[in-house]
Amino acid sequence: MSKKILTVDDSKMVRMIVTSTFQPFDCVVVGAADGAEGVEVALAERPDIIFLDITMPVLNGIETLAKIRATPEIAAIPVVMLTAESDGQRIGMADQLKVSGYIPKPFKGEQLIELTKGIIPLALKAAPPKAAPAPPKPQLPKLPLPNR
Amino acid sequence: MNHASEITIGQVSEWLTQAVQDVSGTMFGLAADPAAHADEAASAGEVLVACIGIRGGCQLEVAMCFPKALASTFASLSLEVPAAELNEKMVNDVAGEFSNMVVGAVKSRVSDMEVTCVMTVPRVVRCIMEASDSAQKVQAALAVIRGSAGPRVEASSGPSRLAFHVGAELLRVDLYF
Repeated sequence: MSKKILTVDDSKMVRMIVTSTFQPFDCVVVGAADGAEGVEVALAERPDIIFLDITMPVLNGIETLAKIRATPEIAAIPVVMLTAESDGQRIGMADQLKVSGYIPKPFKGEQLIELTKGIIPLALKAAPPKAAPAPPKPQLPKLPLPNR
Repeated sequence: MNHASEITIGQVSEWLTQAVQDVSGTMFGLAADPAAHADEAASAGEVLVACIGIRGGCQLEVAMCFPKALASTFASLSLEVPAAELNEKMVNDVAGEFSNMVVGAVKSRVSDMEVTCVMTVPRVVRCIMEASDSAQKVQAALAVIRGSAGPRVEASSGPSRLAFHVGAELLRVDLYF
């Protein structure tokens, strides 16, 4: 069964990068542009893992994480902070809310994949079945050339 | 005036320089080489000014001036969209996120010195600049975010400037500390 990944970030660029990073894998990526929307989408989609930014409008990442952990239906979903704020203070706050990982920005797609593989099973998309070989073209009989 | 008296403008400039190079290289695969005579660097033409600040125990405002062509290049690379298909919102978003990552790295360094501070959400303003009025236009762009980012202590000095060659373009960074 396909895995579902939720990326919560006010930057469309980051949501696009997360989507394209996981494109080769058997998973679906859904997005939210702020913390409040992130909680709504998490409740609707029940993702297998959430990537969460910190600096966002409406609800910041720490507030969003606290809300997720306080909502029984989604409290157990692993959350990885994907954020430009990687100081000890922020990491400590996220740790208290049982975050599953922390990836500082700027980041490479490989970092997302490696961390995700350590949290949920990730399988590559199955290759499409090979098309059956085309039947050989019939050989047309050679006609004799007319005499000139 | 900053309460974190151990943090100097020189240190912040160093952190910013490293962060710009890191973000440009890691996210976009482009080198950002510090330009000589940054103080004389002026932006001209259509420019996106991404404004972002740090508030609290450390007060800092950063205005990153992206020539439109450079911002479009960053957007095209990161969104995997040909330049002709980009719209303003996409390009603004990428400029904002670039500034978020750069200033986020600086904020993390400041916080690790046990100075409590928060980062503002980046805002992007577009303007047409000429070399002679770029400083005023940057000030006007910063005024846009000051309205939404809350009160700040006046900077103790005028802007400090960094500049980077990214390909054929010049990325200018004004900081108020």
